[in-house]
Order: sequence, then structure tokens, then C-alpha cells
Amino acid sequence: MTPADDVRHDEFLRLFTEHAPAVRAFVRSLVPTLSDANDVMQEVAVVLWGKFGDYGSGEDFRRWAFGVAKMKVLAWQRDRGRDRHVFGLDVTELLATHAEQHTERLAAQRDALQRCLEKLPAEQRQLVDAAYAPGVRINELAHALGFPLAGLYKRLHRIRLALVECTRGVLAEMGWA
Amino acid sequence: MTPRALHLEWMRHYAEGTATPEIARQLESVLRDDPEFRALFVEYLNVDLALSSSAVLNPPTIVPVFSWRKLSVRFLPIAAAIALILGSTWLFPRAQVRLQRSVGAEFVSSFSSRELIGQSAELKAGLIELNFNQAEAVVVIEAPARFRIEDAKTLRLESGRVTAHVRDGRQGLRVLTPHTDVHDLGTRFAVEVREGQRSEVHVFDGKVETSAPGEASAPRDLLAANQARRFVAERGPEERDVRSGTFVQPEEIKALVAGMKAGQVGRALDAEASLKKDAALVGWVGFETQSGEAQMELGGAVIGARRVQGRFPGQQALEFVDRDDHARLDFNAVARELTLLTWVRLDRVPEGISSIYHTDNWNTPGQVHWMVLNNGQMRFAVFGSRVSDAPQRGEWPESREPLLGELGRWVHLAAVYEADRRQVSFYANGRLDSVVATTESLPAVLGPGQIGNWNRKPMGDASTRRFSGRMDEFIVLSRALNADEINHHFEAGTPYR
Repeated sequence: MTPADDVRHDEFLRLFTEHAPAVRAFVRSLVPTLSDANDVMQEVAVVLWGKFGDYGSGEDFRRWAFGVAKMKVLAWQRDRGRDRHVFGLDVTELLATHAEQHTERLAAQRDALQRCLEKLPAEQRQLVDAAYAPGVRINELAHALGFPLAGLYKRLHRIRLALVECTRGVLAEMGWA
Repeated sequence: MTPRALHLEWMRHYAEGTATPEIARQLESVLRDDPEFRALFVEYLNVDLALSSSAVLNPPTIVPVFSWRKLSVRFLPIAAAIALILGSTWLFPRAQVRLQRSVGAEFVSSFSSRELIGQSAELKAGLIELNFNQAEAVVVIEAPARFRIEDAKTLRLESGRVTAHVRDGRQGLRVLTPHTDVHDLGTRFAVEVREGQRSEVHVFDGKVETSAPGEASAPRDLLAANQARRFVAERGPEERDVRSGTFVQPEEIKALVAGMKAGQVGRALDAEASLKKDAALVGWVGFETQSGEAQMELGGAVIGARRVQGRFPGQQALEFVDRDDHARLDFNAVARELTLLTWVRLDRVPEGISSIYHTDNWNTPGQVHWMVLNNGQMRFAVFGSRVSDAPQRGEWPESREPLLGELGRWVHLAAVYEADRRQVSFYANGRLDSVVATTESLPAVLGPGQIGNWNRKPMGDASTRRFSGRMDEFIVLSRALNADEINHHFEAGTPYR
């Protein structure tokens, strides 16, 4: 790379590092599973870097990245819509608008999650750690733990709901509406 | 099943990827019509995302491998960088604790900088700086210290002191001690453990929570900026004054590393050896273990204060914490010219005056008091001789520039008294601050006196002056060093570059 490329590279990494969590949350709100979100996010990251030359330095990077992410989600939905059900354009727009308007709150919620995790009973905490460890397949985990697969899914669902409620409490304490 | 329970069940299926077309269609309808459920849906997925990211969970030992098939060679460098940032299902380990810098660090047994998580260590000299990337925290550990890195966000401190600086907006670092667990809420704080005695937590910015050690569900107490608390086994916590100067801050490390690389230790030792040959040397008080004997020769004794790491790794300073901590000494000298030199790290003293050196018999001519006032100015007083010129006529001589910017780091202070010239000169970090004319030509009398607590009142009396911080060297000469000599002493002795 030339020195000028180095500078752009550093600039891109700085901006991407700063905004990647918000973009990921935005993408996650629009596709069904974590695996789907990771696939889309990979495409988003590549496009952002590839088109970074078109990005003006005074521009709002996050807004630009959200725009790219939304285009990628729609493309992903178009490709997957043939074999899987995906939300229609109107609901996707509603979710995208909500996620974009509440970016700061969602970031605060992710931060608050640590406190809530520490309040979980040990057994639930261990279950979350195990289920979300990279490379873990839920069916294999259920087998290893001796749970029916549906039962494990439901336990994790209840823990996630409890964590949402807990983070809402933390955010309320911090003055979020 | 209630409608809400049904909606939640649909949401679960959707997030698991097990929604049938019918479930997805019904869920879509609810999301279209119900803004509150839409908000819950987005937050639920956000929690799901956060749980999968490196930000909140303990790291796995398995490193997943990511396929780069989709990326062209052109994108590989940036893709590798992105992978580090994105976290899940990528090429690299998600959580690390990294040895970022060290300053003269020596360990009792081998310490591998490769696999820090799960490693216990005893640091006998120097400083190390660790980066807990998952908590986005930089932690400085100062010798002597015994610690263990429990996981990517947890440090167990058995003894010693650490300073933590957590990036704005982040939280999650934990420091576990024998007396309390400290949970960071996005802040800059420090912890000190005196083995077998007590732990202290000091908060400089932001907030932390403390809880009983080893009990995850124990109730927590909040500790806010500029608060400090001491925890002693079998006793309730005690409020303490914040000691900012006691702890080495992460931003200080860079200058200390540069100082070590520049060979400041050797220069300081050379300067010390040279000064000890000066015929006018009245007393050179160091605080190395063997130097304690030298203090005894000066009629000295250390009371309460304890030896800690000095401004160079492996060297010692004296630390004053509690109100009654002080060092007694008697230079047994009368001098018409006097130079006092010292290296100190000062905490901000709530009562307003940091007592550096006070002789005992104040109210008799020639007695010497040297201190730093709450406005950061030095005062050097020889009893009986006041400021002669306006606008401070009749006051005790004081320096001009406040030292407030120098609190919490090593600073070199000097005061030069010349009876015949009727003046006091003040120096900070080798630079002349001011020369103050005085009224009388009295010799300075250095009999019994003390560093730290000014003990004219009974021990524990709240009105006594105190010294809070560290002192590394206190030197007295019966001649007036000139500006070049003082600057040389500073330049040779500074640990920073």
C-alpha cells in the first residue's frame, strides 16, 4: 500500500471499529439468526472497505454504514426468500427505523448486559456461557447436558427474556426512557 | 397461552431459525401493528447479539476457523483487521490479556507473556501494564505484588497495588481481593491490598461497585469519583481520602519506559554518588532498607509510614498514608545557607497543607518549616524572618507557580535559603520558580524534626498537618546550590523522559 492508502486504511479501521457494534446490532434486528447476521455483516464490512474511496470524510459514517447494511440485508432477503420466509419490505423498514433511531440505547443495553449477567444464578450463567461459545452446536450441547433440544431452546429463551427485563431496569436507573 | 406468551414463542422460533412460514407470517403481523412488541423484539435480538459477541462472555478455549473463500486477496489485510474487531466466528482468539509494557519488571518465578489468562505471578520489582481487551481496560500493576489473571476480565490481587483505566463507555473489569470484590462501571480506579491486613479501593473517575469477596450474588455498594474505602476482615468498610498520587497511572508508564531506556537509573546513581561527596552535605536520607540505618544515625525513626517502590524499579521510597505516619530525624545543624532537595509524589491533601519537613521547636528563631499549601504553592519558613517586600510583606515566603499539575506524579522540589542575602529561592522540577526577599538574616536551625505529620499536637489530633504521598530522597546541604546545580540534580534524577 502507498502511504496514502495507509492513512485511508487507518481512517477506515478507526471508523469501523467505532461503529461496527452498532451496525451489527442493526443487521441483527433485520435477519432471523446470529449466523445470518454474521454472513450479512461480513458482506457489509467488505463493501464498506471497497467503497470507502467514495465516502466523504465529513460524512456520517454510521449513517452511511447503516445504508450499506440495509441494502445488503435486502439483497440477502431477496436471495433467501425463495427457500425461507423473510419479513416483507414494510416490516423490515419498520425494524430498521427503530434500530437506527435507538442506536444509542441499544449500545447502552449491550453495556448493561454485563451487570445483568453477573446477577444470573450460576447455573443459568454457565448455560449462557456454554451455549454462546463459538463453534458450539445447540443440539450437541443439549445432548451433552442431557436436555431435550426444545427444552434447552426454551431455557435459553427465558434467560434472554430475563436479561432484556434486567437491562431495561438498568437503563431506567441510568435515566433512559 | 396468552397472546403475549404466544408472541414471545414466535419470537423465540424466529431467533432460533426454527420458525415455520406460518409463524413468521404471524410474527410479521404483530411487528407491523405493535410498536411496543417491535421494541422488545429489537432488544431481544440485541441481547442475543451481545451474548454472542466477545464483549460479555468468558472466552472459549476453542478458536473457530473462518473461511476466507469469499474474500479476494486484495481484501485480506483489511479483512484480517475486521476479523479482530468483529469477534464471533472469526479467525483469532476473541479475548486476550496482553502484556503491553513493562518498566524494569522482575518476577519471583518465570512469567510467560504468551498465555496470561490463568497465570499467577509475583512481581518483585518494577511495573507492568496489562491490556484486558475484552473489558477495554488498561491495568498497571506495581511491585511488590502477587496476582492471578483469572479470565479475560478478572484480576485477582493477593497483594500490591493496581490502577485500572477502563475506556469510556465500557465496563466489566473485576478486581478480586481477599477483602472485597471490585466491579468496574466504566471508570478509572485503583486497588491496594496489604496482605493479611486490608484492601483499599480508590475511585478517580466514574463509579465502581464493591461486594463481599467471592459472593457473586452479594449486595453491592456504589463508590463514586473521589471516594475511597478501606476494607478490613471482620470489620465494616471505612471511608478514606482518595490518594491519587499513590498509584501509577497508565499515562505515566510511557514516560517511565522512555526514562528507563534513556538510562536514567544510571544517571541518578551517578548524581547521588557525586552529591554524597559534597563537603556541605548535612544529610542524605534515602529509604532503602539499608538506608534505614543511616536514618537512625540522624536520630531518625519511621513511624507508620512504610517502604514502597521508589521512582525507579527496585528502589524504595517512603509512603505516608495515615494521618499519623511520619519519619523522625535530627540533622543537628545550624546553617546560614541551606538547600533542601526532595523527590515526592503528592496526593491532594483535603486539609490543605502537605507537610514536607518541619522542625519541632517552632516559635524559636531559625526553625524551619517546608510545605505545599492547598493552592499548590510551596511555603518555606524560617521562624523570625518574613517576606520583606510588598505585596506579601509580613507573610511567610511562598513560591509563585502552583504545583497542582504535578500532583500524582514524581516531582522534584527544592528550596534554597540564604541568610546573608536574605532570600529564599523556590525550584520545581529543576526550574527556578521565584526568589523571595526576607526581613532577617537568621541562621536556619535543623534540630529534631520530622517528615510528614507535624506532631506538635497529640497523635490523632485532626489539626495536625500531614503528608500524603511518597518521598524518595530528602537531602540537606549547608550551602546554596545554584540554578544549574539544581537543574542538573533534577535532570539526572527524573524517572521520566
